[in-house]
Amino acid sequence: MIERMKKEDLDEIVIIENEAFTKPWDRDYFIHEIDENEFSELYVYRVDNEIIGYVDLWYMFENCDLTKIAIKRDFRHHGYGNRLLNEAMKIAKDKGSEFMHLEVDVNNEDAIRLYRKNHFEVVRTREKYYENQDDAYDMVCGLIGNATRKVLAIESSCDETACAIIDENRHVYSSVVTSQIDVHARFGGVIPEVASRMHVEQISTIVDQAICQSGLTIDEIDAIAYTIGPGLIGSLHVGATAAKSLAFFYDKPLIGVHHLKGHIFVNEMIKPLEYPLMALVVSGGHTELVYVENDNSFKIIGTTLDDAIGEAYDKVARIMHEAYPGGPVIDRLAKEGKMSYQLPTPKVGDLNFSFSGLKNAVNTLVKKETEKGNEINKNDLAFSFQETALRFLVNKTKKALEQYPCKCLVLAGGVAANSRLRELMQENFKDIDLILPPLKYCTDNALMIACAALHYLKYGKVVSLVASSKPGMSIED
Amino acid sequence: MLTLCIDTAYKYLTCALIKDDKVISSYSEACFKRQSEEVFHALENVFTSAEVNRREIDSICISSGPGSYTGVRIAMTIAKVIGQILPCEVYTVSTLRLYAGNRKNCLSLMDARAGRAYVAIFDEGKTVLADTILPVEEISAEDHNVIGDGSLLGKEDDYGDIARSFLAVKPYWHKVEEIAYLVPDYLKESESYLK
Repeated sequence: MIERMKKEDLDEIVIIENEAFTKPWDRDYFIHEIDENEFSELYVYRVDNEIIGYVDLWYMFENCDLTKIAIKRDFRHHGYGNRLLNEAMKIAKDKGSEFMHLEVDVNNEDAIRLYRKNHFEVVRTREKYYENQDDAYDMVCGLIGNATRKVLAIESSCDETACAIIDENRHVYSSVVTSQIDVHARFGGVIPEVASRMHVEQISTIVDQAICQSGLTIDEIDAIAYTIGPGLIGSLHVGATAAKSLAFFYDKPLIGVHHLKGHIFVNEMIKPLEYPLMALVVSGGHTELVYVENDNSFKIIGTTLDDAIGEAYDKVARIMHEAYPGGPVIDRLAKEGKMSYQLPTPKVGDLNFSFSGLKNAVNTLVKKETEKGNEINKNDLAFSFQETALRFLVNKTKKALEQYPCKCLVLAGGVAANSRLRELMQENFKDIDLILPPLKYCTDNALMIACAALHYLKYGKVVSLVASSKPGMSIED
Repeated sequence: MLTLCIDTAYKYLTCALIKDDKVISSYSEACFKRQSEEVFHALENVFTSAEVNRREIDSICISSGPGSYTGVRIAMTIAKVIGQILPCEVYTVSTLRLYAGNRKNCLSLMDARAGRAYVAIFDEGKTVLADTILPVEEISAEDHNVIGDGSLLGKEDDYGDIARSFLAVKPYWHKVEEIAYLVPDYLKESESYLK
């Protein structure tokens, strides 16, 4: 029988405490936990009127910290620890906790086995955590749903409205995307107010379709995820409000996902990622080299000092009087071209990028040739620009891998769909596990947000219904 | 019928639960440009104080504009998603009509910036001048009770009790037939943003 600990229990408790721990709590500390600590709840495990174990739970918002669990020496190795842990998880879940967290000595194999059996996962190692210099593992277990949790995700950060449902095994129940690209093409770029208006038009249809196609009911879904940033603020608001509506009315945990983490984690649809990992993130808004030490640690080691690569493609296309978006157009023209124009390779220190100089060089070249009365060979100009820009990307990535050796290299973002970039990556990175996302995952979609959300869920990283959207959010946040 | 009413269109954040012909709980605060963050906190508040299960609602009624573009989209996104998924009926009411309630001879006014205002005139709910956008100097407060941004015409700003107004204009709630096609009444075209 499990019940709340009372002060009269402390005579028995202190004996168990002293035999179980090298640095035991004293009676006064237990009294403090019972009387003073408003976050704490202690439970005793009684068998035939004898206390054989106890557990201390700290409730911190959606997380429950299991700060202490002990079984009396004579009763160990009979499954009582497992029973007590299961009861504690049930209590925490009934109290509304979504996750349970604990710390354990890395040498305490029996305990680790018990936790693993109950679906706890190691999320971090704390070095020299204990007084005897032993390391500790942080272990976390989700309390909601079963082993294959399902996430519904919404993406609306720029000009795609999307919704997808997947589970932890990366089984895709549905993935619906609608793009506004045709509308924005009329204006030569994304107009933020127009994008917001189209998102609000589309949002309920997209969510409804994703749910209908999945064959699931919302009650079967364990968490709602959305893109919290970066992106256009008005667009982000629509997706955020839709996700919060579902989370609020159906009482689900809410996960705010960084858009670029989505682009990185969608590569798991191909195979599990190995860490440390290098990500080359290339899109209309971003050009970043991200060192991913593990699935919860992101460091920007190189970024663009001016235009993003996709932006440079758009601007060069405009200089050449070609349509928006520029990426596919230039990629197509370059296939028929050769290196007949000399363009300067950008010179930037460290692992950073710059594309505005290259774009200006294209602009100057076009002006000069036009003044001279020479016709520009668009295929050759596209080829020259693309080779210069992409080789620059590839060389920086090589340099990054020399400084930060990695097991795996992933290409991520909309520009990952560029056929020449994919070729160059394959030619240049033969000695590393290179993952290129399938074309359908390169442009914005909600599947990628769902993939990333599963990692947030693993670490218990949820947000509240009052969370603000973050248009300028860094991947390191 | 239990209806959840939400207005996030302009300076206020208002939520109310209306059961048949009674406001059973309401929440209203000045909240300009913070509605996106605060709206679910407000919703929680009205459901908790009415002791009503969130999914027991039969319908949602929102103000559909004019107003702040971002603001109007917040209530509308909630109504569209929940209306379609729960599902439940969705009703809309013009923000200007909502402010006017069932006041007599009431000029409802809202700043549309650049020297213009959204304006409409209602007499005990009956439309005298339908929602439109006009230069402020063409609008006269004479012979009218003014509600909304009165300061544009040298009067006090006054938005009334928006939760009660939802009930007052109930005969004018417009039922949405196809939730998927529901869009805000911006009154200004998105093309005006391209110039």
